[in-house]
Parts: sequence; C-alpha cells; structure tokens
Amino acid sequence: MRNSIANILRFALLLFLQVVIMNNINFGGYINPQIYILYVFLFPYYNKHRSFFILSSFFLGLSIDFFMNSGGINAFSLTLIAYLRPSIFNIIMGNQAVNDKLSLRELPFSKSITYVLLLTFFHHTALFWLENFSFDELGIMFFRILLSTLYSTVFILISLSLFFRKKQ
Amino acid sequence: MQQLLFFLAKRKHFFLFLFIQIIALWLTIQNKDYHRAKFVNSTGNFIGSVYKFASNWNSYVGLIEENQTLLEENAKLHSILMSSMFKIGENFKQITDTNSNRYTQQYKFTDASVVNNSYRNRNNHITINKGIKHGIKAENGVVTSNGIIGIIESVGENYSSVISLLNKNLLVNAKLKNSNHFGSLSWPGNDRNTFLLSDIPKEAIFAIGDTITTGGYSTIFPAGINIGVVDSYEIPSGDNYYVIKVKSFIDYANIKYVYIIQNLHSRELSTIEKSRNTK
Repeated sequence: MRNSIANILRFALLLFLQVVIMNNINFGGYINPQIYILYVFLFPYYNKHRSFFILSSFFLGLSIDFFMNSGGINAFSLTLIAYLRPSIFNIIMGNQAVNDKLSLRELPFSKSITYVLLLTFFHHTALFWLENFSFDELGIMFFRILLSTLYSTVFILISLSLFFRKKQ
Repeated sequence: MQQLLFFLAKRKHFFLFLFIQIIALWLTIQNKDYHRAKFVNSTGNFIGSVYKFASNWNSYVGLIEENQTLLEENAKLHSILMSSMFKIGENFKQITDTNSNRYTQQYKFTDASVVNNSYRNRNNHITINKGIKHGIKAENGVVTSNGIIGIIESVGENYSSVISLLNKNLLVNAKLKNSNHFGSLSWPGNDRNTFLLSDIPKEAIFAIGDTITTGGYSTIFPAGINIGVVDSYEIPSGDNYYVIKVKSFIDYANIKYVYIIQNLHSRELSTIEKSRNTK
C-alpha cells in the first residue's frame, strides 16, 4: 500500500518537474534533460506488477505528450524501456543480483552506470527518431541522441544517488 | 484452443506491450498531419492552467524589457496614424474614413499572450491563452509586430495550440520586400533564428541585409509582415533558384505577446482556389 502511494507521488512529481522546469532548461541551445524516465528506474524491481508498470509508464509518457503536443512519442519511448528493463537488468547485473534480490544501491556502481546509460540511450533513440520520423537528418540526430543521453544520464545518476543516500 | 490461450497468457506482457505501442504509434502518426485536429494537444483546461501558472511566474522576469518593446510599438503605431492623411492633387484625402464604402475590413487582429513556448525540438509548438470563447479558429495566423510565430492547429475552450514556425512541417509564403519575387520559407532545424527561403529565381536582385516579408499569397498571413533579413545566399549547382538564409528579427526564445490574425476572406479565397484546382 505504501508502495502504490509512493508510485503515484513519483508519477505526479516527475510529470510536474519535467513539464514545468526541465523543459525550460536547455544546454547547448537545444537539449533538455528528460528526467521523467527516472520513473522507470525507481519503480520497485522485484515485484509482480509488471503489467501495471508497463501501463503506468505509458500513461506517464502520454501525459508528457499532452503537455508537449507531441503525439505519442514519449509514451512509446517510455513504454519501450519499461518493457526492456527486466531483460537489460538481467543481462548487466547477472544472475547473482536477481537471485539475491539486490536493490539498485547494493549493486556495483559501474554496472549501474551502464544500466542507466543503456536504457536512457534506447529511450532517447526512440524519442528522437519518432520525432523526426525519417532518415534524412541521421547525422545530426545521432549527435543529439548521444549528447542528450549523456546529460540525462548525469541527471538521473545524481537523482538516484540522492534518493538512496539516506538509507545507508 | 487451450494451447493458444496458454501461449498468450505466458507472454501476456509482450502482447500488452505490443498493443500499447501500436496505440502510441498511431497517436504519433496521427499527430504528424497538421491539417487534422489532434487528440494529443495542450489545449485542455487542466494543461492550459498548469502552463498559465508557470508563465505567470516567468513573466515577471521579463517585464522591463517587454514594457520597452511595447512603448516602441506604440510609437510606431502613432506615427502611422499621423500619416493617415495624404494629399491627392489639391485635395486632402483621409484614410481613416470608416464610413467609407471603399474599405471593408479583411484582417481582424486579436491579441494574446504565450503561456508555453518551445524552440529546442525539431517540431515546436506554442500554447496561447485565447480559444473558442474568443472567436479563434484553426488555421488562423499568429504573428508579432516583427515576425511570424506560426499557425493555429488546435483550439480549446480557452487555449489554443500553435504550430510554430520552428517546425519542420510548416512552410510560409515569403517574398523579398523590395521586389515581388516570392518563395517558400522553412526552418532547417539548426539555429532557432535562422530560416531558409527557397524558390527565388536567379534573376532576382537583392543584397545581404535586405528585408524578407510575408508574400500575401496565402489565405493565412497578410502581405508585408516582417520576417527577417537576408544573411547569406547561394545557388545550388545545376539549379535556377536561390536558397537564401534568413535571420529573423525576433528571438523565438523570447516571445510573450502575439497577435492572432483572422482573414475574413479566407473561405472565399480557398473556395476559388479549390475550384481552380479541380477544373
């Protein structure tokens, strides 16, 4: 029960932060950090509610889309990484983490970076490609994807470490 | 049958994922065609009021500068008023004769303010605080005194969504101010204040610094609205037309007060043009 309230709060807080603050920050003139994807990283991993996770990620992405008039691109990208998260997590963290039900803060830091980087990269690739919907500006688009991934990953890692510090 | 159900049940997450992604993709594709109304838009009252709340805070920051701009614009308008008297032969003729049969209003201007702006994406949209209640319709033009902002795409009760000029789907009819050569203005996606004007024939004569204005050949924007100045130009090899880089007068990151233009003759004009095309 406490978990679902925490989830709803996270949903609303990340939506609000992204739309009101983050969308107005820009680095290099055109990159803004997508921190609402923190929702995917913070959602408890070892519970059975995968369908709810996928659905709620879709709605978070869709809400962002409503604010940004962008159709379904955020919904698609967020649902994509929500679906891929267990597979990527297993591949990177290995069987031991899954068996012992370790949480994100107990895992080696370098693996966490790879995990965050990889999922963020998939998300941004889907996002920018859907926004462009063609192959004609591939070079610039790829550059934007890389740069945005880096910035968003930095933001996410900082936020994650902030979240988990007090528990230790 | 049972095997099939068992197969589906085992992979239920995948099918849920697939189903949701198809919906998301459909919404995305549906959003690309800017001639149709969109499901996913920011004109609802909830979203509009979130943006209004945020922009109220933001607008305090720019008050001094905005005031200065408004004073300058007032001055310009005053001077136009004074010159509304001109001499024809020996008699004075006054333009501001509103009872005259010779003039009917073609363009109606409504002021609005921007509650949400974006300029960093490839396709940008702007939300303004006027809607159906104020008589705004889709495909009305949105301008400032010195630039084109975009075209209204969806209209809600109190707010409207504008497809920004900084959007790869928007083409605007534009011309050189000092001649009648016209072409299409688009945004190539790099710098937010640089645009490309194409289809100007190579016989056109112009120089760097010349003004580009709207051409008036669309039913949306009247002629003569400033857009920007010529920054550089080239003729791609083998082509007969210039590609001109235009630097806008306004900074698209800094827009607050805009005018919505309704062309009261737009229906008549598009009916004529449509019947011409089907002949």
